[in-house]
Amino acid sequence: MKNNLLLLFLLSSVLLTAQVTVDFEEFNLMEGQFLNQAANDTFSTGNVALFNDYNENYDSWSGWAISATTDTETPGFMNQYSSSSGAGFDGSSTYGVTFAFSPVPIELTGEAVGEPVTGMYVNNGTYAYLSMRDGDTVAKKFGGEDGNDPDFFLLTIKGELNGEITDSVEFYLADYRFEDNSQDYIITEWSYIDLLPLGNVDRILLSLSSSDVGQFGMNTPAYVCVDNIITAGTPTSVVDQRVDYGFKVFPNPSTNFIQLDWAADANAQAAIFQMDGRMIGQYELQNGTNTISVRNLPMGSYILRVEGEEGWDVRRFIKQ
Amino acid sequence: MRKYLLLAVSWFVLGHCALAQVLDTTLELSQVVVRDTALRPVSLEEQLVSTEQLHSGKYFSLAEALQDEGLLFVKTYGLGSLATANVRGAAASQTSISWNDIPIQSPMLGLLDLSLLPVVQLDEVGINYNQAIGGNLFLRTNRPDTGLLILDGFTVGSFGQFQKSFAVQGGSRLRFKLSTQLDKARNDFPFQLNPNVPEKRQTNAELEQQVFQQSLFFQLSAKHQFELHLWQQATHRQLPPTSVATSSLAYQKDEVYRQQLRWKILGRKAVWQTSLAHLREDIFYADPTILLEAPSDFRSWILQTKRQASIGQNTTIETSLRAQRTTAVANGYAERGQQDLLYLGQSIVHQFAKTLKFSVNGEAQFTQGQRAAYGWRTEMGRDRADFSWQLSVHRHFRIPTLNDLLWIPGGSPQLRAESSLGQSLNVRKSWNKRGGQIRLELFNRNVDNWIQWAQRDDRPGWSAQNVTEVWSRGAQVRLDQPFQWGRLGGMFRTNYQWTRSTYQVAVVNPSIDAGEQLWYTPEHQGFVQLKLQYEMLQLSYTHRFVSESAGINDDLEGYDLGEVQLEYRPPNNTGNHIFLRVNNLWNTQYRIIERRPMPGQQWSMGYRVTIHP
Repeated sequence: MKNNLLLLFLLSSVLLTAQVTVDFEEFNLMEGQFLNQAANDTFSTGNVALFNDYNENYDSWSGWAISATTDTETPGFMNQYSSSSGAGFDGSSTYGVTFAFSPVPIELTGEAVGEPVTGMYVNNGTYAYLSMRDGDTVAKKFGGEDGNDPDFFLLTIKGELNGEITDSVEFYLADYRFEDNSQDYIITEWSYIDLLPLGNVDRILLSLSSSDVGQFGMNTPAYVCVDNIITAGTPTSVVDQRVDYGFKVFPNPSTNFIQLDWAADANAQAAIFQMDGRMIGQYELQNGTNTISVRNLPMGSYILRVEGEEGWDVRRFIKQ
Repeated sequence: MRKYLLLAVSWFVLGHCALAQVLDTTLELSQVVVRDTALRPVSLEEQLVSTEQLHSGKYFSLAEALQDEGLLFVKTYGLGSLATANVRGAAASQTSISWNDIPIQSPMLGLLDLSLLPVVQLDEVGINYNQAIGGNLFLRTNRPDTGLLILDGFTVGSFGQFQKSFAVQGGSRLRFKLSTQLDKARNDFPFQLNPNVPEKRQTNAELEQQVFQQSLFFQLSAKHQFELHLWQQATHRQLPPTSVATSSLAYQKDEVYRQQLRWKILGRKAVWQTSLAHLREDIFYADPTILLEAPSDFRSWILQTKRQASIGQNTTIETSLRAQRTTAVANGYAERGQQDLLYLGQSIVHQFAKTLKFSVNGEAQFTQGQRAAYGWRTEMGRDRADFSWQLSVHRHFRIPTLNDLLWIPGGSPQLRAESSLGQSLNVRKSWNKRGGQIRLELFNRNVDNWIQWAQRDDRPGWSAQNVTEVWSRGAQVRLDQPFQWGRLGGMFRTNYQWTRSTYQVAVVNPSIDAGEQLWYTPEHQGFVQLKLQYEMLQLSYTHRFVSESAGINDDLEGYDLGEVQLEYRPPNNTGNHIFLRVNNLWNTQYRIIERRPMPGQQWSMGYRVTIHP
């Protein structure tokens, strides 16, 4: 009885600690957009830092991407950013996507470092889901040729503190190991994973494994979507907060250049993104009127994101 | 590139000056022998498919003909799908493929899809195992005999297979050979993956191909011959799903244009042969399901010249030079790829006695952006009617493909050429004039700098790397025994091949252990064939076996296949020719590539008429 009371006390104290939920909404992506290129190789949000490595030469990325894509129908690599439910947790618009062919970390920052991570929601990406359901040129349809193969797609989350593994939690994103094939499933809804068993951590590692493995490694597309990561503490990275800087972008629509009157902050950076989330230019802002050439941009809509010392803000403009 | 051109010119000029001096000193002593054929090395050029079979209409493609003859292992993804040759444990891209002496495999992939290669215009299909790392598969279209000859016929078979071909050849001073071919197939064969699973039927596997080929041979004078070869084909084929995928809508369109102009000068002292070739392939791969379209194409211009001369009666020298420019475009390339290369070769064959030959060959290739690659070959052999042997030691190279060099991500411009050192011994004993013989062939080959797409800890992602070494060794025993009992004649043939081809350096990803057999390389294979001939009827049964092999995803079981053929064949290859064949007679369920089902029992029958007007 004493032990149970102690456990209850400990649990209560954990729950009573202030929590921060990373829901990715602050990236302010519009439906269909994604970000696969972080300004400083890291998406910082709430009390987590998500590594991103974008290779401009190869137009490829690894680590994490932020997505608001909604395509639940199109199979294949071209639809690598969508969650299988077509939205984030609870119908939200934005979520995180990771390519975890090798283990991918979620680094804790600020007050979350060394504290437990309460939990997070995960879901299959559309690419992985449809690949497991139907097969493709590389990967097998789960169940195999006769439907009886004991296939699985497993997410393993390990906690790490000071370089030591604390514990691990497993979650089957797809499980075809049942005797009764009618019980086989592939996750298509956001599912909560309790991460308290990992204990106090300074980072968690996500890795994916599958029964469909060849000499070149896992055939199942190694993607998983993540939303609402619940960590301890209060947000420490003010840059991760949207603030209204009150600046205007003009002329809009524009032909050769845009201008931006910047008075709020001495040290600020601006970046232009295509509507698919790809960053195409970065600029240091000076106090006063800043002119950015858009002469070489193809016609279309673009996002101008400004990061200052107090947070970030975005404007949309059109190149004619 | 300029220095290579200078080198090439110097090579030719110096080589021929030196040769001229030798000729000057020997001309008065001995008669100069000039041949109008290319210099044949000591090593055997083995005919893989006879001319008669090539023109029989039995084969929709070269892949099918090679599978039927059974001397090479053909790795195929299924009926009508990509097929490549695995020669003595080499990778498909290590076997060069030439048409009238011009290399024709894609410089982008290093491959040529044998399933799309028509055979009606070909007169010779064979292999020289001692050229290139994995041998040289040569295809030749020869000058036809005089007199008009017309071949017309069609073939029908299981799963909607249909072929219509027409060929005409003839002429005298201007000889011509023209052929057209139309292939169609549904390839919707049934297959049963195991006894507990209902039978399924292959889907999205239709193929349609049109081929037009024309060769002109013009004898301008006793000394000058011109040849013009044109080859045009267009293929549209669907790409079926794997056995562990629900469906596929993928398809591929291939357009191929090959042109060659050849000028042969038969001099008093030497034979010159100069060829200008243009190769073009446009490939459009699309998979509407995943919104993927991947066009790619390449163009190659090749200028090749060879000079062959005899010094006295016993020595022949050949100098060759090839300059090639290739441009290529693919979604995976940052910009249009271009590759210039220059190849130089020098061969000397000396005949010590009536049947004893010795040859030395040296070759060098200078490729833009690459280190120079060198090779050599030395051979010795005795060739008598009843007994022959050949011994060969050779070093060869293979430059990386354009995809290995340029593909983004992963292409590595720093890749080195693969290089091999090989030895082979062939012994043949014949015992009667009808062709009874036994042959034993032993081979050994080490390939360094083997190019493999791999992942390494110090580099993110997959990239082409000179990552491992491969050791191939093996033996081939072949017996041909003709027989005649009154009016019943026939032939008994058997062939067994042992190939051990192992990675010598372990790789982490892909997972390769040192000593592991190469993927899709069976260790044992062979066939037994009995042909019976009674007047104009020929009946044959072939039974072949292939041992198990390792695949990328699963191991593949060994299998046995039976094939029976009945032919009515008129004498002198004229008149009506009818055949009926049943492949996979015992309805074996087998696979050559995992997840790619192969057809069970299937039949085809064809009619050919050969007319000499």
